[in-house]
Amino acid sequence: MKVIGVDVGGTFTDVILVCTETGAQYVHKVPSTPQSQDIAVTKGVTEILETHHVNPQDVGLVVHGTTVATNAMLERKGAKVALLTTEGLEDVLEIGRQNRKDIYSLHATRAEPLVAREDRFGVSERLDSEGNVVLELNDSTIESVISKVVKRRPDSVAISLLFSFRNQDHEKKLLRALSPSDLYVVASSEVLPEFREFERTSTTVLEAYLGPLVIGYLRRLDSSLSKICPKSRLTVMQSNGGTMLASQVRGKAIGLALSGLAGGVIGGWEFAKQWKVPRAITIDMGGTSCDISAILGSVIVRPDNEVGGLPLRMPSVDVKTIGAGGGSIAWIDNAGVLHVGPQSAGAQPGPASYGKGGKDATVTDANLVLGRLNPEYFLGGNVRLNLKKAQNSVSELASMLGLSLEETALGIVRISTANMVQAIREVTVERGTDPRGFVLIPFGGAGPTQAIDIAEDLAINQILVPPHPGITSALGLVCTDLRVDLMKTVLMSAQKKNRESLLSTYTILAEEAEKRLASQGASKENIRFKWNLDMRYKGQSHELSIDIPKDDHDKIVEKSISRFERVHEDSFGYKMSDRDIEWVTARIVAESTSGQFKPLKHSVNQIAQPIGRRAVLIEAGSKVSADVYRRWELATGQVVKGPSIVEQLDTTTYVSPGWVATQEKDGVLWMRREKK
Amino acid sequence: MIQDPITFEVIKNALISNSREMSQALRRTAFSPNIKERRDCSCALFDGDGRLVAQSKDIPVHLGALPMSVRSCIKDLSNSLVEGTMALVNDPYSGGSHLPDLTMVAPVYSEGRRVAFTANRAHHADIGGISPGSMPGLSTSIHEEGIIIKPRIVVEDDVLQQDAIADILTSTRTPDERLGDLSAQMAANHVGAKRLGEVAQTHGWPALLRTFTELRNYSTTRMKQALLQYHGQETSFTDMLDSDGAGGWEIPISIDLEITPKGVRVDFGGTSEQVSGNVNCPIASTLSSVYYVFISLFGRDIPVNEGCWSVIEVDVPEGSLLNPRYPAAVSAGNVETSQRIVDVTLGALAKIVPDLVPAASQGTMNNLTIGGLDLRTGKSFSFYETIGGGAGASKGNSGASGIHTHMTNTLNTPIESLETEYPLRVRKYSIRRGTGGSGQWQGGDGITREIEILADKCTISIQSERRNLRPWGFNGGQGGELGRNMLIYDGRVHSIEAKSSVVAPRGAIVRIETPGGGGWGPPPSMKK
Repeated sequence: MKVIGVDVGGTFTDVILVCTETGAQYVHKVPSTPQSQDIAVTKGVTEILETHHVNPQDVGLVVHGTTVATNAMLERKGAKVALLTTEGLEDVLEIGRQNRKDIYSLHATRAEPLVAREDRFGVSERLDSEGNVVLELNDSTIESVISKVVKRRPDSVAISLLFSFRNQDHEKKLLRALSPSDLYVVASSEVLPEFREFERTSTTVLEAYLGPLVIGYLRRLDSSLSKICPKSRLTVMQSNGGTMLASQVRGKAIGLALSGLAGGVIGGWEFAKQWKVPRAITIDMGGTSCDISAILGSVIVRPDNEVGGLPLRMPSVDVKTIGAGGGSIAWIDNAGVLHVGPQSAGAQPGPASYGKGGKDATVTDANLVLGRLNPEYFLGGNVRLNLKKAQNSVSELASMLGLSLEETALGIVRISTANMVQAIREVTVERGTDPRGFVLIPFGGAGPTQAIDIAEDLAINQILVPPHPGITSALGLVCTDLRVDLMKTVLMSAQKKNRESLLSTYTILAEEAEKRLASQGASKENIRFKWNLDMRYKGQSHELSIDIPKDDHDKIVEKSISRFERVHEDSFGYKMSDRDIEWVTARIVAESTSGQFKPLKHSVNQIAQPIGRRAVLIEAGSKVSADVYRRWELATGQVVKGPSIVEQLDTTTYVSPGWVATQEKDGVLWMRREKK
Repeated sequence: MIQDPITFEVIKNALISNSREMSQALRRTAFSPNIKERRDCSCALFDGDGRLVAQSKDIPVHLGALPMSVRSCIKDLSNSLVEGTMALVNDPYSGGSHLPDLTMVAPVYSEGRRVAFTANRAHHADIGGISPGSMPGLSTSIHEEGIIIKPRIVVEDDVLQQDAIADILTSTRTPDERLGDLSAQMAANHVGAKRLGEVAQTHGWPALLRTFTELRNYSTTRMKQALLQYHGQETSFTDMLDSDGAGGWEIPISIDLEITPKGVRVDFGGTSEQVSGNVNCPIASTLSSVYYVFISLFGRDIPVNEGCWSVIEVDVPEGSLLNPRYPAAVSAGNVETSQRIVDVTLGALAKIVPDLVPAASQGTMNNLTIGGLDLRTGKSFSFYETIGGGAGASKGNSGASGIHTHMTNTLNTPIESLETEYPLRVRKYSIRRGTGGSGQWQGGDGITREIEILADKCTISIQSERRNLRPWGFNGGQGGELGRNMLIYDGRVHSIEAKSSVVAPRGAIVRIETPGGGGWGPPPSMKK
């Protein structure tokens, strides 16, 4: 079978085609079409089939990573939504949590609510904190509110009533009453059955806001792709790092909020898995931004996120995006301190060395000045870099700083590195893990050039460079598994008497997850489960998530408590002996492998000779001479000692002194710190 | 001069994220909704002399005032602050703000030398005193407001010492919650110290300590530069507090301000003497409010630390409203008077930088506390929250509605948390449309919040302002609507004073309507 992955980026849409039988991989790039992403997607698929003479009938699966939802959130271009809330609380969405973003801003602003006041309707009904009915929702109320809603001519309706996570009855009644309409209708007890009314309401509204757009897009794409590859199914990447059948996205559109970011993480993780690396950090560094993610045994999926100021309480891959790319601009503030980014020179005008009119020194310019990049061979020779222009831009900063050209270039790289290191700390240290001992997996056009700087700062000893760093995100799509995340708030004390109730919740969740995967074509014996339990001391309202492997379910009380206490003590320095411990939320993740991905075969036997030598600046005033290699010429098992430079079509890998790189038979380049 | 500008930037960011991690740990482990949901807490790092080095951006009134608490711990306890200890303080006359704000301070040691401090402040929902919540409407002495904690050691060998806090747990109506929150404060300092150690491991203590000093100098230089262009300008302004809850009305706060070559000199000479009610503002909170204004106007992109403030000289007569003598009542000073100090300082600066200064915001925090017996648990409860209102408009921007302004930035209590934890029910939570002052740019609207009492005989305490004197508009803009407090029972509406404590029966509804913000520029209809 042939599997196609299509990843839509800001500049290019990357297409990868793999043959599951032979492991053969083909790659293709077409310019993205931001106004309707499906145009480039369809074009890319058509072209890759033609170019490599692949029979469209052989394509069984197309996996798609899209930024349609993300862009709609950033640009506020979603559907017209009507919101039904408990009467008296129509403004919860607008007030938010009552705080402002920046405490020192005298013009406090916050994101405009996605639903205007006149489209928010109070419903006369009320539940108490246990879910008991305080005020019944009667039929005449339903009738009158629906007639008001319809008059506003919305595209979709969000229903979010107080305490609906305790009792869904009232929301269900409204859902049923609205079902004859052809509106896109969603209820908070289905979208996010969790406490805290603002977060639940805003997430439900977001589903209603994105749904019509995302569903429309996928329907259009599905229909044009089925004309090209009639036997193929279309799946989409979700924020949680798993795929789902495009035809089943209805009601779960919000799950695609970070669809376009997850592919890179999965791509990096695929190599971690092949090499049995349990702990890794993926760095996808492109021209303008850098996406960073930590992998701990598997991809980390966090319960919430934020896009364009809109809170998102949905499981999403823990990717941190910062404005640190090759095009990030270096600048000096009025007190003479050097900063790098977040502004970027982008592709137009680009770094000074592109010679397209850019005057600002960027990270790429600094790397060029340092000798790490080849002016004649950047991005496979497609972009010629002008060293003189890079030097001029950097020396302008140097004279303002009173430093040498070299010191300044090193400084730019150091600060850009520090920005990435800070982001890595946020996804590791701030979540309680120590990045030392992790493997760094750098990709994107700029990642491998600075990977060792990052590793040095974090005391990391091993770096895994994928075979084709530039297309790792698209590769991630074709390696992805079908995935379903389910959760249920249980809220009970961690005691023997509640054991059966907890276990039966898990059973119900597992059955539901299995059913959903099966309906997408998974076979039952291939489904893998992961069990988690959010726990806290009674009285706290934030939880620690504890792993509960299936084997521990017999002793779930003891195992969960001892594990919770250990994590609490590790994270916060203490545990409490006389407090009740609570089970709050049971979570289950079910995954099923969609297609077998075979690693590349890199079969070069003849030891490659350097194609040349280049002077590289390693510290102020100190230059070394580095051997320059071409990546595809390196023989399997060949060891390259730093200082060296390995060039390839889509990136440049810099091996600094004290490090050695080894080319492996699956195309991976391992860089390791030499023992002192 | 910064020796190594690159290491400087790297360490600066590490220290800020360090403080942020402290705040996260505090919230994640806290027990009371006021801390875990409303985030009424702040964290920061200090050098070995108790000077602020870096902070997380939490609650402005806490942040500017924290250093005085740290320094009073150093002064009172110096030698006993050994490794593994932490100190606790809330005394407004020893660098504190008001009694519910408990500050925990931990020394950080390197090779036997005390090199830094981590500290955090959290608002506890009850610390004793005459009314639940320790924010009484009508107190006239600090002794009515709760237990006074002078600097004392409460953690030894990294363990919270029960006997050192026994009197606190006896004074409060909610000892379990206090113990949980104190543990959370300990966790925050623990996380801060651990992380600081890691930064030191990467860069070495010498570089780290050098950066402490460089950061301070850097911020001083930049604040000075920002003010320099206004040098020689003088201005003054007066605004009033509505009341003190003890018979005092229209209490003036006056400021004289001069931009000097060294920075700025602020003089509160014409301000009222201290008053009998509880709006007296401890000196730490007074300074904090002034600092806030200068950072907001002139230092938005300058790292906040002691250096920012070294260019601000503040004179406050002792025995005045803004620097009261023991045993004046102070519980509303930190939350209400602080907001008026901001109004006054901004009002004065409006004459120097008219385009930067917004009209007055709601000018109050609308402090609401409700306490009584929760029949569901058989235990006492004490609920505290503050309510947002209208932000003042500024040139080019209408003010935001239903938002916390100036000296606070706490979140709301989620209704689903509030009703789960307390015998209360929220009946209404909405924006008070049309209450922002009109103008070329509109002031933000206030909030209406109604809470029904579901327990017998609860004590409701309110500390609020801008119930008599409207938040002012600027440059021809109209003032914001006044706030109002009322109790609705049996279909009748009873109005409640700005500062009050009342006992309410089951079924009563307390309704708070918060003020709107002032408008900026003449309203379109009034233009000629």
